[in-house]
Amino acid sequence: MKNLVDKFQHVYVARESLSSAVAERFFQAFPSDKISIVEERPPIFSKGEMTADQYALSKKVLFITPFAGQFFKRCPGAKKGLACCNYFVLNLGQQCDMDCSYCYLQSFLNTPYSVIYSNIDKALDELTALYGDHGHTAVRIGTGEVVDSLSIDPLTLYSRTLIDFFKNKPNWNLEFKTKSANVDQFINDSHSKNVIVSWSINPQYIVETEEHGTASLEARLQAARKCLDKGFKIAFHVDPVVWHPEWKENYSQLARDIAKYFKPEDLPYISLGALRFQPEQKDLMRERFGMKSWINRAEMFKSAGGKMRYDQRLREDMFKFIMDEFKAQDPAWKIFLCMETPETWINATGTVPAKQENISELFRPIAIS
Amino acid sequence: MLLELMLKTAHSINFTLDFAPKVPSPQLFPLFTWKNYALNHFGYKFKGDLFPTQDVSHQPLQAVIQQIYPRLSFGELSTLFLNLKVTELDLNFEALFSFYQYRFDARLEKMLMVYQELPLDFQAWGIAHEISPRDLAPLVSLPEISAANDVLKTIAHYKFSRSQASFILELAVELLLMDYTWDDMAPPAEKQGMWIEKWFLQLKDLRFPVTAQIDSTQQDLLARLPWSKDFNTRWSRTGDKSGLEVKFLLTSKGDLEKKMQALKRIHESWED
Repeated sequence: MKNLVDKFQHVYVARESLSSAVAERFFQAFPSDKISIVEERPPIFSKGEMTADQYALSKKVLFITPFAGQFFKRCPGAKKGLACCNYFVLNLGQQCDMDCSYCYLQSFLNTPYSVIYSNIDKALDELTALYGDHGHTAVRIGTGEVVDSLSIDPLTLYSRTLIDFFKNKPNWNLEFKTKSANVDQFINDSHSKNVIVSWSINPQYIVETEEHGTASLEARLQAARKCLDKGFKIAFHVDPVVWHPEWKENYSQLARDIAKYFKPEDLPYISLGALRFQPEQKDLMRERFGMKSWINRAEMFKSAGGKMRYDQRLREDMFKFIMDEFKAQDPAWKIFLCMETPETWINATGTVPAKQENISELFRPIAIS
Repeated sequence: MLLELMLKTAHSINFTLDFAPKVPSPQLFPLFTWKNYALNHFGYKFKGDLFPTQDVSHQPLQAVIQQIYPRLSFGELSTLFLNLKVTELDLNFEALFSFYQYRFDARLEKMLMVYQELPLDFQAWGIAHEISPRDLAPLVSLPEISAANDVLKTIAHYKFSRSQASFILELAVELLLMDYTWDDMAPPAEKQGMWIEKWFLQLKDLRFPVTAQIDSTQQDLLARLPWSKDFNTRWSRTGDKSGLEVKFLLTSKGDLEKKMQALKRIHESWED
């Protein structure tokens, strides 16, 4: 907990949020000189695009406030031209205290501080209404789109509220996505076996060079093991796959590391996604992490969807290699490609996801407005 | 503007706002002054001691600038901004820049200052080609902007287009940050024929060596296929995809049959 408190320079709490449980916890955890009440918003001025320094500061200042908009949104992968997997997102804040060089938040955040929404009750009301219409359908709801699901969860304890909410919703799955190893705060909670705790993972070399402030690969795998032992479902997203000169050795080692802790039946799937980002975030990434970063050195080209991606042949080679490495450990591993075109699916796996026996269930879209 | 002309001497007027606008004021205009600062006729050689001026201090400075200069490029705005900062004139920069279609934020302010550090010939080129802050953004990553002087001077000297400049600037800055030197990336000494295209290709291969290798291997493989002279082939890249572009002429249904047979032979010889 001390590490988390030390990460933030200051916490501002909107007066409206004072009665929330999350604000109360922050007041208990933070020394009085690091937390204050504001009427509207923190006294940090910034408009438009942030500079590298402003962006860095936005990770160190936290604002607790109610969210006035709609919490529940469809995953950005649900677009024409991408093979997507019925994943929905629930945003309980914005910005992340960790600092991955490739982070896509760099392309669109323009708020000079991190935010935690204090009105999780409203989010649960929205989910209850949605469950009324779609409770019978298998849906995955994730909380890790614009925040890491668990990195500051020891402070917010939102995981516990959500796990409790999902207890009586057997057709729905709650998915936490994290690069932290913070699971102790909910590990002993009772649940309905519909909670997936998932980790974005990468070889330790990429963790060290590109995923600043995150837990080590070993710590993530151990946290996953802990969750599995307590009956939680777990999943791994090998995402983003990053080309670097030793990529074959390192991703091969990653497959072995996972196989050391887990068997294919322990995980519903492992997803793979190659590095991709919006062209607009390139300048900020270059300024913040320089050209020693494998993300900035990456050979990226504008793809049909507008995002920067590796050459398609290189992506296919990397996917095929990693899949083969997992299959060499055990042919039963279930692996799918995330945010990829059907064309890449075919070239890397020989088929499209909806026709791939062991994962087709994940790719049966439902209509939600 | 109300026309209330006065006669003033040049030495009684402050010319420090001179931002070298690309389009000078028509000579028939009076010299507009705002709190004794000249707002136009910066480059004009005043022949006599007395000349007509109009004091527009009763109007907001921003409105006056916009009226005199309804269109300014980023480069001109950069110098104007610097001069306004130096004089500490009270001005709403957000409103002023909004008029010229820019959002005034910390990032834009940084780019306005960066522009002033660029070689003067590049600055002049930048004004003529209406370069944007986005085009110049890679420069901010350099520890010293002057590290890019060679490439900036080359752009100005050979009068590259704005899109060529934007492309080359990003490649060059990234190569510099990857510890390449200007010697590694300088254009060929002999500038003949398609030298610009060849130079760009050379820079791309330097910046994207893995992809260049993949392309080269594929290209070699496909070139070895038994293409007849009826097929015109060319390796081509579109974004994240590359492949062989095949062009052929069809003259009749019979000709189509013939070409299909030829393509079938290619297909049979093609090994993955």
